[in-house]
Amino acid sequence: MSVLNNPTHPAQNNTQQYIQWAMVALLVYLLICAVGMIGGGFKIAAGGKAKELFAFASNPFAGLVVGTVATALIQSSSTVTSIIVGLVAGGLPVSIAVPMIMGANIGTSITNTIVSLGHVRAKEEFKRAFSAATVHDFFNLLSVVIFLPLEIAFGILERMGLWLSQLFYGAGDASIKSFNFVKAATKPIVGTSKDLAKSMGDQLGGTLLIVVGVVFIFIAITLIGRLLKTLMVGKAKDIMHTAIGRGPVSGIASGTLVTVLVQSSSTTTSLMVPLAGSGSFKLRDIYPFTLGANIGTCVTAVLAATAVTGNAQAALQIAFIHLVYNVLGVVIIYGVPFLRFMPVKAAEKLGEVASNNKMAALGYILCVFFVAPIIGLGISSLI
Amino acid sequence: MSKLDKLSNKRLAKLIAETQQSLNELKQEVERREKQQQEYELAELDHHMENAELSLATIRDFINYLLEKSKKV
Repeated sequence: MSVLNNPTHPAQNNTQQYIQWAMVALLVYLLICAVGMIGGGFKIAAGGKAKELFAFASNPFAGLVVGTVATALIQSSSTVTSIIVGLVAGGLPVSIAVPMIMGANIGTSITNTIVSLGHVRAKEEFKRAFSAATVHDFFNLLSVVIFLPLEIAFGILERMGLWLSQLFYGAGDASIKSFNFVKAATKPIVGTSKDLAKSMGDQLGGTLLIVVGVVFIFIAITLIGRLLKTLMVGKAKDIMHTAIGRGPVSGIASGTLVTVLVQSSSTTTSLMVPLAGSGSFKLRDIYPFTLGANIGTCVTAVLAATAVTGNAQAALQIAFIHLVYNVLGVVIIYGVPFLRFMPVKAAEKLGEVASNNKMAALGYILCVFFVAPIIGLGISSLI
Repeated sequence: MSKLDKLSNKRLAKLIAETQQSLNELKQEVERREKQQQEYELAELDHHMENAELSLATIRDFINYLLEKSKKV
């Protein structure tokens, strides 16, 4: 639409923006309440038997598959990690939740891979676009290959997350327990909904509260993403302009910042697809932005975890585990020269194969996000 | 190239310097064009942002493309 056809007055624009920001604030409030509802609902429904309920996921591979497939189906890692935070607050053991968080990272990369399919009609463009999308997949897969065995053997992420959460839930007067305005602000809604759920009976009420919480999280995150896309596109443009040609650290920082602003790693990584597809940006140029997206996406769960009731410290611990996992992933994989460009090389190779045989692209998506996880789950359940 | 052995060292050094300078200028020009192209693409970020969402149309179009190709084979 041209400027002439758009008679909107700047003052009107400002008012519209204020309304949109107010809506974002309201939706963040809804998101935090929804995470609290899931925690409350799970506690009511499970009645202290949360561990037994999730016994099927005590196998780390099962947890990984649950996280991957759930995120691939819902198309939002923020939604899945926020749900996990709520479940941990309701009693789900952190050790069971860790592989789920790792799986959420893998599952979220399906979005940009599907976005890249839009370039299928131009061979070279598709090759570049598909490589740009799958570099995120390979990075996340490599991250799991490195950290899942370490977590199973030593529980390093769990320990680091615990240490970080203790900083906020320490015994001192300045701990989060002493003054948590967000928790106080969400208490009326979460408390009322829990009372209502209890009145319906523990099983039914608790389950209903979980379902309502999941729906609210999904709605809140989807709408926040849409609003922030409109509000932040100019800022994202400025950040990326600034980052051009300034090296990988600047790229990672920009990817993180853009993702925090739009509250969606899928949006950031999907933005890289047309930039690489056109040939203007090389795969190595957009790779650091993609890594930054992994870090930026952790903010949602940390924010949600600050205000949950129940096992609040464990909820904050799992949110920090997500953050530590993604930061360490970038530090280790990008920091070690031998590992640094492994995802890039794999993505380039796959892009070449997929551009020559488009069925391979479809086979890859189905295999990585659905078939392989289910087969892996079957095998691990037999062991 | 056979003439090279007839050139003086001074002349060769001068040729190397000139070639090096031309090479640097060419590299700078390529970098300038690449950066210009990147900035042009970033100017279109609003448009890319709209397309950064998963749409069923993308999957449908991809499947249609595969079907078209399989019919041609």
